[in-house]
Amino acid sequence: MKLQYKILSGFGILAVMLLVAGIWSIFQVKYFSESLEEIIGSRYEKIGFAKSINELFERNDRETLLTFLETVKKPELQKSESSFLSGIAKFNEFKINGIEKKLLEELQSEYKTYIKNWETVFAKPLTTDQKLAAYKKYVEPSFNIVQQKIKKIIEINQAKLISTAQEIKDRTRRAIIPGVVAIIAAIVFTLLFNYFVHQYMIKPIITLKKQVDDFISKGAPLTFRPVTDDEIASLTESIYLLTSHIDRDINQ
Amino acid sequence: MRLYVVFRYIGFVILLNALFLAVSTAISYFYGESSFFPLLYSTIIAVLFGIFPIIFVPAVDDITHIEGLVIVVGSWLLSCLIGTIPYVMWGGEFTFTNAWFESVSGYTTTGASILTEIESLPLGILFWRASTHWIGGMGIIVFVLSVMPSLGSAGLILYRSEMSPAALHHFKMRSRDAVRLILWIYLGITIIETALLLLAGLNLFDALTHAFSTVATGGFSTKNSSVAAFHSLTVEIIIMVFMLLSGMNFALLFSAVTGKFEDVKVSTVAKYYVGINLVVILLVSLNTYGNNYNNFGDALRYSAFQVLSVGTSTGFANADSSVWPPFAQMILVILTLQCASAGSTSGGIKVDRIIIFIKSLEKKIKQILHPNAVITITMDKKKVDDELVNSTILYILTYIFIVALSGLAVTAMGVDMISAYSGAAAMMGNVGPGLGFVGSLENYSLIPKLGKWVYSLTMILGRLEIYGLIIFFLPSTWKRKY
Repeated sequence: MKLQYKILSGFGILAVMLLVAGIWSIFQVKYFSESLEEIIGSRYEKIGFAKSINELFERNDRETLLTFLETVKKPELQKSESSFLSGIAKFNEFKINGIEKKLLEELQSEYKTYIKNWETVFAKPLTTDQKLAAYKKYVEPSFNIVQQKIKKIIEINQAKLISTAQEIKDRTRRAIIPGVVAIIAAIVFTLLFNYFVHQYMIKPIITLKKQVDDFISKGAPLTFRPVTDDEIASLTESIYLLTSHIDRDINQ
Repeated sequence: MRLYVVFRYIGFVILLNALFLAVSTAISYFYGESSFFPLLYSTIIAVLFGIFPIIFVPAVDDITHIEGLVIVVGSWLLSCLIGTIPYVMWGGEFTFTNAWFESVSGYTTTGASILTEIESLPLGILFWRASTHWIGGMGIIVFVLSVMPSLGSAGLILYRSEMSPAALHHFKMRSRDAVRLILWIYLGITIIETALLLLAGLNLFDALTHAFSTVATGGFSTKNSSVAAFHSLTVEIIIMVFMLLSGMNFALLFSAVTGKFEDVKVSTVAKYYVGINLVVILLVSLNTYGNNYNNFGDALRYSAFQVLSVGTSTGFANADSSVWPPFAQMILVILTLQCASAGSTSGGIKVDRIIIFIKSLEKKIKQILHPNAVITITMDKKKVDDELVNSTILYILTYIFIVALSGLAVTAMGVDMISAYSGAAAMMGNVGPGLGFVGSLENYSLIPKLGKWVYSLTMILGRLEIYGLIIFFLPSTWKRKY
């Protein structure tokens, strides 16, 4: 192979190593912004919103109970109910996945059961103690189910928040490590390249020069034989020819 | 020392690694995994580093014995380093120390892992782990020699430098034919085992990776609880048979395949190897029956698997042997030191050397009883020369000394004696699991960082049969004039 291609291959290899590592790091950094948007823009807001739905639901239940015990009037109860339902409707506006969608559907269905249970209890003429007992028996279980569904939505989003953060951590590492590997590989490669350049380019030239000097000063014959098939081999061959011509001229 | 010649041959080895890295990259790409880029970049680096010396350095046929040795040791060390790159780049549990340990464990076919969550690894990385076993099992240089066109006298030097001295006399053929024979046997066993595991119900990925591990007597599994995860007696039986076969001398296996059963029948090593495993299985079964298992069938199943796994230096597990009675555990430790036959993919002192050791002991006793008698050691009706006997005894002593030293170093880091010493023996024998918290269903994640480096060195010393690595690091080796 010609010297030009050998040198070119060396630099080419170096460039490829650094280029690929660079491109990958850029790709990973680009991913960070998407992941951060996912964490802040979506998950974090969803968790906050689900928590406020939970508060609305608790308020709704508290006010229903107070209405039931005839402490609060009906219109206030209707207000808290509609706040809760609009909260759920707004949550649906977020980018939600299949599991979340299913949970929201279940939540709405369970909420209907919860309301139905209230209506059943409301319809009965009961004393205060009986009302509280009826609440415990018929309404509280459905309240717990609805609340569990809301908490499940919070849990899913919290878990996703943690896993995305972990993924960002891994991606950060994956963005840095190729750079580190590329730097180390480039240093090692440069040393190797330098060694080969010295072994197959510099060293033969030095040896050849020394032998030409010896030929000029002492008439010593050239013994150097290049092991490669490149420009140095052609140069050596030409010098051999030259020295043999000079030898022949001197002898004549 | 002609360093450029060393670089050229190591270049071929790196390219072989690049080939397997490329396959792992393809798997990762196919499944859209996070390991795609780490594997792709490792492949690129391996290709570039492998091809560059081949571009620059012209072919050289005549290499010296020392150059051959440096090429072999250098190839192993650089392969381990190349193997580290995808792990480090992928991250997870892989710090640099952990990645190096996992890579060394893969290439040396030890099968000890630092991973606590193997099943969460991408398939590309799992395939690469199994590939390191498969490359290392056959012997990196032997693998390269078998797939490359003839390298002339250099090939012979490299072959002799790579092969265990205890195995060389078994291959009574030209080195070129010997490496081809090893390749065909190796490939044949892998394909047959993969097919049988597929028939037993494993998916192609699990079947292939477990076949890679079995044939190389490695032990890396794709499951956290190793082979126990499959809950399949059929799978266990298939793996047991192939562990036993992989622990046998490949030249003898070839004789058996080509119908020359007489060679196998007269082989002292084969008879001892099979015999000792059967005896030990029976002893361990009897010991665990009643203590750990309520019926003899279960005792036999788990004992046979664990004994063959340790006795062939594979390291798979279908039971937690660290809860077995002390006698059974002690037998496993002895097997960890001995392992299987020379000329196989197994590690350890090897059966061949144990036989020579026993015979030399026998000779010494006879000599004391009959001082004037001329007693010679024979194996398979052939005289074993004194030089081989002496070097065998020296090897065994050095081996045990290194195990002791490695165990001592790890105990100094606060690891308990049982775990440290059984771990050291398992590292030196390239077995994998030890006892205590490095038991058959455990891992090496709890070993301190420095301890992992000590064990990595022990694994390499065991795989290269001690002397090669020592010579490699002697300054005089590098100062030698060509």
